[in-house]
Amino acid sequence: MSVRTVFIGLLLASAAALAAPPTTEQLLKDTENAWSQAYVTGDAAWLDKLMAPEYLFTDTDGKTYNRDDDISAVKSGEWKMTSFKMGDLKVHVYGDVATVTGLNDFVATDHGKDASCKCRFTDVFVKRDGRWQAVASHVSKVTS
Amino acid sequence: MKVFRALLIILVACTPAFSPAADSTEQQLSRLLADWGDALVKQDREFLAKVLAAEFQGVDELGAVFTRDQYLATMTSGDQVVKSVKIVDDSVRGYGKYAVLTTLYTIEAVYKGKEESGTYRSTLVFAKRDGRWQCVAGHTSVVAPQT
Repeated sequence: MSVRTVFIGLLLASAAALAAPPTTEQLLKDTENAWSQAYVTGDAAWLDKLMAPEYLFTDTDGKTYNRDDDISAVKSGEWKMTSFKMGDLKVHVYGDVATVTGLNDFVATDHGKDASCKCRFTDVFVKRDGRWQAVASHVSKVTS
Repeated sequence: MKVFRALLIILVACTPAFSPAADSTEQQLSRLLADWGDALVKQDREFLAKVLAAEFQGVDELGAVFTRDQYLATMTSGDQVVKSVKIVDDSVRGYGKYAVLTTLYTIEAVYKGKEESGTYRSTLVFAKRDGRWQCVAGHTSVVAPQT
Protein backbone atom coordinates (compact mmCIF):
# COMPACT_ATOMS: atom_id res chain seq x y z
CA MET A 1 0.00 0.00 0.00
CA SER A 2 2.72 2.44 0.97
CA VAL A 3 4.67 1.64 -2.22
CA ARG A 4 1.54 2.39 -4.23
CA THR A 5 1.05 5.71 -2.41
CA VAL A 6 4.66 6.69 -3.08
CA PHE A 7 4.26 5.70 -6.73
CA ILE A 8 1.11 7.81 -7.11
CA GLY A 9 2.89 10.68 -5.33
CA LEU A 10 5.80 10.46 -7.75
CA LEU A 11 3.43 10.45 -10.72
CA LEU A 12 1.63 13.54 -9.43
CA ALA A 13 4.92 15.33 -8.76
CA SER A 14 6.13 14.55 -12.27
CA ALA A 15 2.89 15.80 -13.79
CA ALA A 16 3.18 19.04 -11.79
CA ALA A 17 6.76 19.51 -12.96
CA LEU A 18 5.70 18.95 -16.56
CA ALA A 19 2.87 21.46 -16.24
CA ALA A 20 4.97 24.14 -14.50
CA PRO A 21 5.29 27.31 -16.58
CA PRO A 22 8.82 28.22 -17.67
CA THR A 23 10.76 30.60 -15.46
CA THR A 24 11.25 34.16 -16.69
CA GLU A 25 14.88 33.28 -17.37
CA GLN A 26 13.93 30.35 -19.56
CA LEU A 27 11.16 32.33 -21.24
CA LEU A 28 13.60 35.09 -22.21
CA LYS A 29 16.21 32.59 -23.40
CA ASP A 30 13.53 30.99 -25.57
CA THR A 31 12.53 34.45 -26.80
CA GLU A 32 16.12 35.14 -27.89
CA ASN A 33 16.17 31.97 -29.99
CA ALA A 34 12.72 32.68 -31.41
CA TRP A 35 13.86 36.25 -32.24
CA SER A 36 16.73 35.05 -34.40
CA GLN A 37 14.50 32.36 -35.88
CA ALA A 38 12.08 35.13 -36.91
CA TYR A 39 14.94 36.79 -38.80
CA VAL A 40 15.68 33.47 -40.53
CA THR A 41 12.05 32.93 -41.58
CA GLY A 42 11.40 36.65 -42.20
CA ASP A 43 8.54 36.61 -39.72
CA ALA A 44 7.85 40.35 -39.52
CA ALA A 45 4.56 39.79 -37.66
CA TRP A 46 6.42 38.07 -34.81
CA LEU A 47 8.95 40.92 -34.66
CA ASP A 48 6.10 43.41 -34.67
CA LYS A 49 4.75 41.84 -31.47
CA LEU A 50 8.14 41.55 -29.82
CA MET A 51 9.40 45.08 -30.36
CA ALA A 52 7.95 47.89 -28.26
CA PRO A 53 7.08 51.10 -30.14
CA GLU A 54 10.13 52.83 -28.59
CA TYR A 55 12.52 49.98 -29.49
CA LEU A 56 16.01 51.22 -30.40
CA PHE A 57 18.75 49.08 -31.88
CA THR A 58 22.43 50.11 -31.84
CA ASP A 59 24.67 48.26 -34.27
CA THR A 60 28.37 47.41 -34.18
CA ASP A 61 29.21 50.83 -35.67
CA GLY A 62 27.17 52.72 -33.12
CA LYS A 63 24.42 53.50 -35.62
CA THR A 64 20.85 53.42 -34.31
CA TYR A 65 17.71 52.01 -35.89
CA ASN A 66 14.13 52.16 -34.67
CA ARG A 67 11.49 49.45 -34.73
CA ASP A 68 10.16 50.40 -38.17
CA ASP A 69 13.68 50.40 -39.67
CA ASP A 70 14.27 46.88 -38.36
CA ILE A 71 10.94 45.40 -39.38
CA SER A 72 10.89 46.99 -42.83
CA ALA A 73 14.41 45.65 -43.53
CA VAL A 74 13.11 42.15 -42.77
CA LYS A 75 9.94 42.61 -44.83
CA SER A 76 11.84 43.90 -47.86
CA GLY A 77 14.47 41.19 -47.61
CA GLU A 78 17.27 43.79 -47.26
CA TRP A 79 18.23 42.02 -44.05
CA LYS A 80 18.27 38.25 -44.21
CA MET A 81 19.67 35.85 -41.65
CA THR A 82 20.28 32.30 -42.86
CA SER A 83 21.59 30.65 -39.70
CA PHE A 84 22.48 31.48 -36.12
CA LYS A 85 24.04 29.92 -33.07
CA MET A 86 23.18 31.38 -29.71
CA GLY A 87 25.40 30.94 -26.66
CA ASP A 88 26.49 32.28 -23.27
CA LEU A 89 23.00 33.58 -22.49
CA LYS A 90 22.71 35.42 -19.18
CA VAL A 91 19.42 36.82 -17.92
CA HIS A 92 18.99 39.43 -15.20
CA VAL A 93 15.44 40.13 -14.09
CA TYR A 94 14.53 43.35 -12.25
CA GLY A 95 10.79 43.09 -11.70
CA ASP A 96 9.17 44.05 -15.00
CA VAL A 97 12.50 44.91 -16.64
CA ALA A 98 15.09 42.36 -17.74
CA THR A 99 18.36 42.25 -19.60
CA VAL A 100 19.72 39.38 -21.63
CA THR A 101 23.31 39.24 -22.79
CA GLY A 102 24.81 36.59 -24.99
CA LEU A 103 26.71 35.63 -28.09
CA ASN A 104 25.06 35.20 -31.45
CA ASP A 105 27.20 33.74 -34.21
CA PHE A 106 25.09 34.31 -37.29
CA VAL A 107 25.27 34.24 -41.06
CA ALA A 108 23.38 37.08 -42.71
CA THR A 109 23.24 39.53 -45.58
CA ASP A 110 22.42 43.23 -45.53
CA HIS A 111 21.46 44.67 -48.94
CA GLY A 112 23.01 41.56 -50.45
CA LYS A 113 26.37 42.05 -48.74
CA ASP A 114 27.74 39.67 -46.17
CA ALA A 115 26.79 40.88 -42.69
CA SER A 116 27.73 37.72 -40.79
CA CYS A 117 28.95 38.35 -37.30
CA LYS A 118 29.99 36.74 -34.08
CA CYS A 119 28.27 39.36 -31.99
CA ARG A 120 27.95 39.98 -28.28
CA PHE A 121 24.54 41.51 -27.59
CA THR A 122 22.65 43.17 -24.79
CA ASP A 123 18.86 43.16 -25.09
CA VAL A 124 16.55 44.99 -22.70
CA PHE A 125 12.98 43.82 -22.18
CA VAL A 126 9.98 45.35 -20.40
CA LYS A 127 6.94 43.34 -19.32
CA ARG A 128 3.69 44.89 -20.57
CA ASP A 129 0.22 43.38 -20.49
CA GLY A 130 1.70 40.10 -19.31
CA ARG A 131 4.28 39.71 -22.07
CA TRP A 132 7.90 40.74 -22.54
CA GLN A 133 8.65 43.34 -25.17
CA ALA A 134 12.09 44.39 -26.38
CA VAL A 135 12.86 48.08 -25.83
CA ALA A 136 16.58 48.22 -26.67
CA SER A 137 19.36 46.15 -28.23
CA HIS A 138 23.05 46.84 -28.60
CA VAL A 139 25.61 44.64 -30.39
CA SER A 140 29.40 44.49 -30.68
CA LYS A 141 31.47 42.37 -33.01
CA VAL A 142 33.61 39.98 -30.97
CA THR A 143 37.16 40.37 -32.16
CA SER A 144 39.07 37.98 -29.92
CA MET B 1 -14.68 91.80 -6.56
CA LYS B 2 -16.00 88.78 -8.38
CA VAL B 3 -13.52 89.36 -11.19
CA PHE B 4 -10.71 89.60 -8.63
CA ARG B 5 -11.80 86.31 -7.06
CA ALA B 6 -12.00 84.61 -10.45
CA LEU B 7 -8.50 85.83 -11.24
CA LEU B 8 -7.22 84.42 -7.95
CA ILE B 9 -8.80 81.04 -8.69
CA ILE B 10 -7.21 80.97 -12.13
CA LEU B 11 -3.86 81.91 -10.64
CA VAL B 12 -4.12 79.18 -8.01
CA ALA B 13 -5.17 76.65 -10.64
CA CYS B 14 -2.27 77.58 -12.87
CA THR B 15 0.41 77.63 -10.19
CA PRO B 16 1.25 73.90 -10.29
CA ALA B 17 1.83 74.13 -14.02
CA PHE B 18 4.41 76.88 -13.60
CA SER B 19 6.05 75.90 -10.32
CA PRO B 20 9.27 73.96 -10.71
CA ALA B 21 8.19 70.33 -10.71
CA ALA B 22 10.34 67.61 -9.21
CA ASP B 23 13.06 66.48 -11.59
CA SER B 24 11.86 63.99 -14.13
CA THR B 25 13.66 60.69 -14.70
CA GLU B 26 15.00 62.19 -17.92
CA GLN B 27 16.44 65.22 -16.11
CA GLN B 28 17.90 63.13 -13.29
CA LEU B 29 19.64 60.75 -15.65
CA SER B 30 20.86 63.46 -18.03
CA ARG B 31 22.49 65.17 -15.04
CA LEU B 32 23.88 61.88 -13.75
CA LEU B 33 25.41 61.24 -17.14
CA ALA B 34 27.14 64.64 -17.12
CA ASP B 35 28.41 63.98 -13.58
CA TRP B 36 29.64 60.53 -14.69
CA GLY B 37 31.70 62.22 -17.41
CA ASP B 38 33.18 64.67 -14.88
CA ALA B 39 34.00 61.75 -12.56
CA LEU B 40 35.95 60.04 -15.35
CA VAL B 41 38.04 63.19 -15.90
CA LYS B 42 38.67 63.51 -12.14
CA GLN B 43 39.16 59.74 -11.71
CA ASP B 44 36.61 60.01 -8.91
CA ARG B 45 36.46 56.41 -7.75
CA GLU B 46 33.93 57.15 -5.03
CA PHE B 47 31.39 58.56 -7.50
CA LEU B 48 31.95 55.76 -10.01
CA ALA B 49 31.60 53.12 -7.30
CA LYS B 50 28.26 54.64 -6.29
CA VAL B 51 26.86 54.91 -9.80
CA LEU B 52 27.61 51.30 -10.72
CA ALA B 53 25.52 48.59 -9.08
CA ALA B 54 27.34 45.65 -7.51
CA GLU B 55 26.03 43.33 -10.23
CA PHE B 56 26.92 45.72 -13.06
CA GLN B 57 27.96 44.04 -16.28
CA GLY B 58 29.38 45.97 -19.19
CA VAL B 59 30.16 45.03 -22.77
CA ASP B 60 32.75 47.04 -24.67
CA GLU B 61 33.11 47.81 -28.38
CA LEU B 62 35.15 44.62 -28.89
CA GLY B 63 32.46 42.45 -27.36
CA ALA B 64 34.41 41.89 -24.14
CA VAL B 65 32.46 41.62 -20.89
CA PHE B 66 33.62 43.51 -17.80
CA THR B 67 32.47 43.82 -14.21
CA ARG B 68 32.12 46.83 -11.91
CA ASP B 69 35.48 46.11 -10.27
CA GLN B 70 37.23 45.83 -13.62
CA TYR B 71 35.69 49.12 -14.75
CA LEU B 72 36.73 50.90 -11.55
CA ALA B 73 40.27 49.51 -11.78
CA THR B 74 40.66 50.60 -15.42
CA MET B 75 39.21 54.06 -14.93
CA THR B 76 41.04 54.95 -11.74
CA SER B 77 44.41 53.20 -12.03
CA GLY B 78 45.99 56.08 -13.93
CA ASP B 79 46.41 53.97 -17.09
CA GLN B 80 43.34 55.63 -18.55
CA VAL B 81 43.54 59.43 -18.67
CA VAL B 82 40.28 61.07 -19.70
CA LYS B 83 40.71 64.72 -20.64
CA SER B 84 37.11 65.49 -21.51
CA VAL B 85 33.70 63.91 -22.01
CA LYS B 86 31.07 65.73 -24.02
CA ILE B 87 27.53 64.40 -24.16
CA VAL B 88 26.25 65.00 -27.68
CA ASP B 89 22.83 63.42 -27.27
CA ASP B 90 20.89 61.25 -24.88
CA SER B 91 17.54 59.55 -24.97
CA VAL B 92 15.95 58.32 -21.74
CA ARG B 93 13.05 55.90 -21.54
CA GLY B 94 11.69 55.56 -18.01
CA TYR B 95 9.95 52.45 -16.69
CA GLY B 96 9.11 53.32 -13.10
CA LYS B 97 12.09 52.38 -10.97
CA TYR B 98 14.05 51.47 -14.09
CA ALA B 99 15.24 53.38 -17.11
CA VAL B 100 17.10 52.81 -20.34
CA LEU B 101 19.40 55.53 -21.61
CA THR B 102 21.01 55.61 -25.03
CA THR B 103 23.68 58.25 -25.35
CA LEU B 104 26.12 59.57 -27.93
CA TYR B 105 29.27 61.22 -26.57
CA THR B 106 32.80 62.19 -27.46
CA ILE B 107 35.79 61.40 -25.28
CA GLU B 108 39.31 62.78 -25.36
CA ALA B 109 41.36 60.08 -23.69
CA VAL B 110 44.69 58.28 -23.61
CA TYR B 111 45.10 54.66 -22.47
CA LYS B 112 48.62 53.64 -21.49
CA GLY B 113 49.95 56.42 -23.69
CA LYS B 114 47.83 55.40 -26.67
CA GLU B 115 45.27 57.81 -28.09
CA GLU B 116 41.74 56.54 -27.47
CA SER B 117 39.71 59.61 -28.32
CA GLY B 118 36.57 59.13 -30.32
CA THR B 119 32.82 59.16 -30.53
CA TYR B 120 30.96 56.44 -28.67
CA ARG B 121 27.39 55.31 -28.21
CA SER B 122 26.25 53.50 -25.09
CA THR B 123 23.06 51.82 -23.99
CA LEU B 124 22.78 51.98 -20.20
CA VAL B 125 20.19 50.36 -17.94
CA PHE B 126 19.52 52.03 -14.60
CA ALA B 127 17.69 50.92 -11.46
CA LYS B 128 16.55 53.36 -8.78
CA ARG B 129 17.59 52.05 -5.39
CA ASP B 130 17.39 53.88 -2.08
CA GLY B 131 16.41 57.03 -3.95
CA ARG B 132 19.34 57.07 -6.38
CA TRP B 133 19.98 55.72 -9.83
CA GLN B 134 22.48 52.94 -10.29
CA CYS B 135 23.66 51.50 -13.58
CA VAL B 136 23.11 47.73 -13.76
CA ALA B 137 24.16 47.09 -17.36
CA GLY B 138 25.93 48.91 -20.16
CA HIS B 139 27.00 48.27 -23.73
CA THR B 140 29.24 50.55 -25.79
CA SER B 141 30.17 50.92 -29.45
CA VAL B 142 32.67 53.13 -31.20
CA VAL B 143 30.75 55.22 -33.69
CA ALA B 144 32.22 54.62 -37.11
CA PRO B 145 32.90 57.72 -39.21
CA GLN B 146 30.18 58.39 -41.79
CA THR B 147 31.20 57.23 -45.28
